[in-house]
Amino acid sequence: MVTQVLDLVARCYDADDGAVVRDFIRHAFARSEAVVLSFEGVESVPTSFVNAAFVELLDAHEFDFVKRNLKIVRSNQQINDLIRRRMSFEAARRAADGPRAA
Amino acid sequence: MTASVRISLPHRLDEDGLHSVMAQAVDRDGTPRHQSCVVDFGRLRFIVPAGVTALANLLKWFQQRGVRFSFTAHEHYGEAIRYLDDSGFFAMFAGQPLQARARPRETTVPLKMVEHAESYLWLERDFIAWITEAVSLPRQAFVDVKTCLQELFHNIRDHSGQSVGCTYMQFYPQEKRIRIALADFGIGMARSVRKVLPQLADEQAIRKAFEEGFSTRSTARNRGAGLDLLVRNVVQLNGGRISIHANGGSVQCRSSGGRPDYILRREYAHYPGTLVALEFRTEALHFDPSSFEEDLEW
Repeated sequence: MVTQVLDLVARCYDADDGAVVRDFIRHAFARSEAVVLSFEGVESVPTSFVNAAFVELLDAHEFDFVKRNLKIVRSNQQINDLIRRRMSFEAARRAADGPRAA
Repeated sequence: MTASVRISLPHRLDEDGLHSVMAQAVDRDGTPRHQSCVVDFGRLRFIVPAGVTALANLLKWFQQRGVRFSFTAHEHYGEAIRYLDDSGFFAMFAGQPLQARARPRETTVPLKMVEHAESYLWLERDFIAWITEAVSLPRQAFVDVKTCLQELFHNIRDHSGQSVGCTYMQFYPQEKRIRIALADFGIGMARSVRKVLPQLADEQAIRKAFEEGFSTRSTARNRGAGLDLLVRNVVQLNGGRISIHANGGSVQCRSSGGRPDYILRREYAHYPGTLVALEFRTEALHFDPSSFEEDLEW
């Protein structure tokens, strides 16, 4: 089932907006459900939205898991490039930092 | 009673000239030099968006600090004064335009203080309405420009200690350039970075802020990627230019052989807050409707 991101938030502008999207995705993942998120109607997103909506998923999930279980559709190059670059960068940084101490 | 000190605007108020104004107005420790002053427009003959924004930002800073100011030698209404009047400068600081005929120019977005809470709608409506009309391209062609401004408004809220930015913009059709300036009178980018890296000089601190992943962790979610996005959108993809002036330094970034090249300068004056000047090449802005929408390929 495709979820329209603009059904979750009125706009994709800042970290508060991103947190709502993140919580939706986390909830789905917790029920072992994949997510298909449509960005229809969204022209652009800033880094603060992407950080909150997607990068914070890496706090609890490996990047490969996110890639397998999150599809983003009806988006555009600006949004997709930013999500890819931010996620790749943060995943690589986490891998370099290693497991956190308990 | 002490006579007010005179702050003389230079012949040319651009990114170099603004430092002469700051040198007269601001101590090296970032405090106002005087408690009252007269801003002298007598020598001013030319001004650019960064100069308009820097001057307005300075006066807003004065107002916040309780510095009293007045204007002199602005009545001659030469071209630079008329340009400032049309920008909304005198309406903002003197309560009304110098002349009733003052009008925003079609190629400009009037000087405005934008609160972060209103920045989303201001960008979606006022900014997009102006730029699509001025440059005659559909709104999707300005996605990268709008994203840069979103990043800058977020940076002001997250790092400066303030919530409002002062902005002014102009389209130069002959040069095929858009010049955008956005400033705040907060703590300054260099000072913000030096909270975590105190050993850096101001210009080095500003340069550090461009590194993807560097963050002052000013907020829990701050991951330090906003300026990296600006470099990508403005310099690498567009071939434009970014300048940042903050505290005692400045950094300019432009393309050199397809890669971003940074020029760092230690300035002789202190800039109270942060000024960001962006220059976009309109020839590099385009929109292909057949390829605009796509799914994400990881």
